[in-house]
Amino acid sequence: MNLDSKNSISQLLSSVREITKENKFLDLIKKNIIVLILIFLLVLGTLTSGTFLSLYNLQNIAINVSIFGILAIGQTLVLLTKQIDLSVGANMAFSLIAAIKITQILMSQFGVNIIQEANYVNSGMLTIIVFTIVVSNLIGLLNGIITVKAKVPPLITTLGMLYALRGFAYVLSKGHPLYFTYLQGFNWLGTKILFNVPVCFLFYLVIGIVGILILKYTKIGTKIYATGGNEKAAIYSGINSDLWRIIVYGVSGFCAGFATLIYSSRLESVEVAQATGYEFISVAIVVIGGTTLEGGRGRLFGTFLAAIILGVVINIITLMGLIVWYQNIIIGIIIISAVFAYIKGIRVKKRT
Amino acid sequence: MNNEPLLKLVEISKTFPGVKALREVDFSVNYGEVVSVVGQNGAGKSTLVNIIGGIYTPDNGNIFINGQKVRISNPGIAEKLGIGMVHQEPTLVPMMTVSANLFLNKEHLKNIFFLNFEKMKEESNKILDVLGFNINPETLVENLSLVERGVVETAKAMLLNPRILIFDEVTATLGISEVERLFKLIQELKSKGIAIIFISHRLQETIQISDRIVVLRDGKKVGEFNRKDKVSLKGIINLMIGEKVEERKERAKEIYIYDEPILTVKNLSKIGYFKDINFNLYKGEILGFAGLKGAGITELLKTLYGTLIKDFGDVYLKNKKVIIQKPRDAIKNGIGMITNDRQKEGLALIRSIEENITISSLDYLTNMFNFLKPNILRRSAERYISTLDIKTTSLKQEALYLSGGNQQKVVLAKLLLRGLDVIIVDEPTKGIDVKTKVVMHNLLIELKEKGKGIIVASPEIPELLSICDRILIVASGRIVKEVKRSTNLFNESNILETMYS
Repeated sequence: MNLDSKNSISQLLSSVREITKENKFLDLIKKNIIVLILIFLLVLGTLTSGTFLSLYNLQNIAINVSIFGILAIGQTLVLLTKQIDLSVGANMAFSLIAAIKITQILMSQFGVNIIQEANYVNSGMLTIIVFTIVVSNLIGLLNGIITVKAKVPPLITTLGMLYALRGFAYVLSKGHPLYFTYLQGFNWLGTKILFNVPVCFLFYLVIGIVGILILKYTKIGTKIYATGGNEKAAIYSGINSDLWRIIVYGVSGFCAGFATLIYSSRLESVEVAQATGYEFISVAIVVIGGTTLEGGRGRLFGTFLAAIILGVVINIITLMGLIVWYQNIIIGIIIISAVFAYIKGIRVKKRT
Repeated sequence: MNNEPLLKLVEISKTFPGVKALREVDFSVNYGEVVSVVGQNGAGKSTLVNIIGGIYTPDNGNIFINGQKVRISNPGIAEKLGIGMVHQEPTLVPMMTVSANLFLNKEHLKNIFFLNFEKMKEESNKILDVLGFNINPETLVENLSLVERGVVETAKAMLLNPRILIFDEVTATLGISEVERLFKLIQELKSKGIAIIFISHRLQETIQISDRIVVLRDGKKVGEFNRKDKVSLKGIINLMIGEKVEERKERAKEIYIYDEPILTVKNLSKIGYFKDINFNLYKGEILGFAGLKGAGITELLKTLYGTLIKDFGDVYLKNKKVIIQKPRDAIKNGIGMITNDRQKEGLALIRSIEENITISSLDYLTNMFNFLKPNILRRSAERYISTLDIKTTSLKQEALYLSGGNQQKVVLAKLLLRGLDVIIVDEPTKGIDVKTKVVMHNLLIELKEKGKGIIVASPEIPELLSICDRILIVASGRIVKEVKRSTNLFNESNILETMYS
C-alpha cells in the first residue's frame, strides 16, 4: 500500500466517521458477517490494483453505490411487503423526461423556452427537479393502486409499467437525448464532493439511516413488516395493509426519482434508455442484503451494505481489466450463493 | 346496569355463495357467563363468532351491546367494543417476536416516534406469567410449537382487556394438562366478570365448564341448555344430528370378507399427527375411519399413500413389508388413493378424460418401442366410461367440465385401470349430489365384492354406516374404538358420542 492510497482511504474514512459519529450505526457493524465480506473485498481490491484505494476511485464507487443503493432502499420496502417493483429503471428515465416536458410546457406559458438547439436544456432547473420527484412518486403510487386495488399481481403490474414507461419516455422525448451542459448547477448532485465525500453518497447515507431508524424503531416499521409477514394477522390487528402496500410503492417511486437526478446530474444528460436493467440490480442488492422474497423478513442495513459490496465488486472487476460481462457472471453467482446461504441459515434456526 | 345482556344477537343470518351458514340465529351472553356453542362441522359456529369478532358482517339481523345497537364491520371495531378473539389457527406474524406480535399495532412508545421495546418485553413477560407459560418474549413466533402459539394468541386477546372473550376451537391441539390450565384461566376470567364464548368439540369438558350451551345445526339454533338442567352428552348429540328423514339402505355383505389381511399397519406414527396406529385391512372389506377434523385421519391416509412420510412403524402388504415414501411406491405396491381434494390432487382438469384415466397406467399401455398406443388408451378409457357410467360427450372432453360426481368417477377409473389391491378414499362423496352418492357407494361395494380392500374416511357418519363393514374411530391421532357392523354399537349416536368425548 503506497502512501498516497493510505492517505486517501483515511481521508475518506475519517470524513465518513466525522459525519456518522452520533449514530449507533457503528455498533451494528460489529456483529455482521456482511461487513466482514466488505472488508475482505476491500483487501482484495487493494491487492488487485494500486489505484483501487485512490480517492478518485473510491469516490467513483461511492457515486455509483448511491444510485443503486437508493433504488435498493425503496425496493427493500416493497419486497418486505411481499411485493416487487420492476418498473424502477423505466421510472428513472420516464420521470425526468416527463418533468422536462412539463416544465417546458409550463415555462412556455411565460414565453420562456427551456430547450435550446433542440437538445440542450438551459433553464427551469428547480421546476424540473421538483417535477421529477413528483412524477416518480405518482408512478410509484399508481403501481401500488393497480396492485392493491385492482389486485393485479405485483410482478405483472410493474412489468407492464417497465415497458409502458419506456415507451412513453420515447414518445415524450421523440427519442432524442437531452443535455444539461448549460444548466447551471444541475451537475451539483452528481459531482460535488464535500469533505472528500461525494454529496450523493451523503444523501444515500442519510436516506439509509432514516430508513433504518423508521423501519426498526417505529410503528411504521412494524406495520410494514406485519403486512408482509402475515397480512391476515396485520388486518386482524387493525393495520391498514392495503394502505401500506401502496405507500411502499410510493417510496420506491421517490427513490427512482432521486436516483435519476443523481445519475443525470453526473452524466449531464438524460435519454430514454438510461438505467436499463437497474430494476434487476436493485432486486439483486436487496436479496444479497438478506431480505427474502417471502415478505416480512429482512433488514435495511443489509441492503445498505450489499449496495456497497456490489459497487466494490464491480469496481474490482473493472480494474482487473475484464469486460463488463464478467460482472454479470459474478453478480449472478453472488445472488444465488447469498440467497442459498440465507435460506440455509433460516432452516438451521428453525430447527433449534 | 340495565337488564339487557352484555351481548345480544338478534336474528342473525349469513349466506356465503351456495351455503346458508346462519339462519336467523338469536344469541346472547352476559357478564361473567360462560356460553358454549356446539354443533357439527358446518353448523355455523365459526361463522357466528367471526361475526361477533368483526371478521364477517351479517346479511341480516342486529347486534346489541348493553342494549345499544352496534355494527361490527371489522376486527378493529370489535376490539374497541371490548371483544377479544382467540382464533382456531393462530394469526401471528411468524418472523416477528412474541412481544412484537402481542403488541401488534398497539405498541408502547418511548417518545412520539420510537418504540419502547423494554416496556413491551416486560408486559409480555407479565401476561405470559399470568397464563402460566414460560415463553421468552424475544423468541420468533415461527420457532414456537403449536401450543405455544395458541398461548401467545390467547395472551394477545387478553391484553386488550376485553369484556367478551371468544375461544374458537382452541382445544383441538391441546393435551389434558393444557386444557385444565385453560379451564382454570376461564374460571378466573369469569370471576372477573368477563363473558366467555367457547367453541369446542370436546363435549364432556364443555358441559363441565359452561353455564349455558347453545346447539347449532345447519345454521339454525336448535337448542339451549342451562347448567341447572340436567345436560346429557346423548341429549346434546341428538340435537346436533337431528332427525334423519332419509332411509339408509343397509348392506350386510360381510360374507365377502376373506381371512387374509391385504394390508397390515403396525405402530405407525407421525409426530404431531398420529400415534401407534395398528390395524388390518382384509380382502373384500370396506374399512371406515371416523373422526373430527384434526384427528389425524387424512394425514394417516396420506402417509399410507406416500404423500407424507412416517416417523415410526411399518406397513405390510400381503404380509410383505413395504417402504412407501412417495405415491409412486404406493402404486407400485398396489395401493391407490382418492384424496379429499379431487380437483387439485386427483385430476389434471385441463386435460382430457382419456388422459386422466390412463395417466397412472402408461407403462402398461406402450408397445415394444415404449411408444404409447393410442388405440389401447382410447379403449381403456372407453371401457371405464361405460362401466362407471361417466356422463360426458366424448373422452376427449376436458375433466374440468364434468360434474363433481363424474370427476370423482374419473379418479376412481384411473385407479381401477391400474388394477390396485387397496383403494383409499378420503371423503368419497364430497360435494356430490345425493343420487350420485348412492352410485358411488354401489361402486365401492362392487369393488369390495371383487376382493379389493377399501379404506373410506368420511365426516358423514351415515355414509360410513351404509357401506362399511367395520369402522375405526380416531381421536387426537389414535384409534380409540373399533365398531363392527354386526354389533349393536354400529349406529350414528354411538359413534358420535365416542368421537366427541
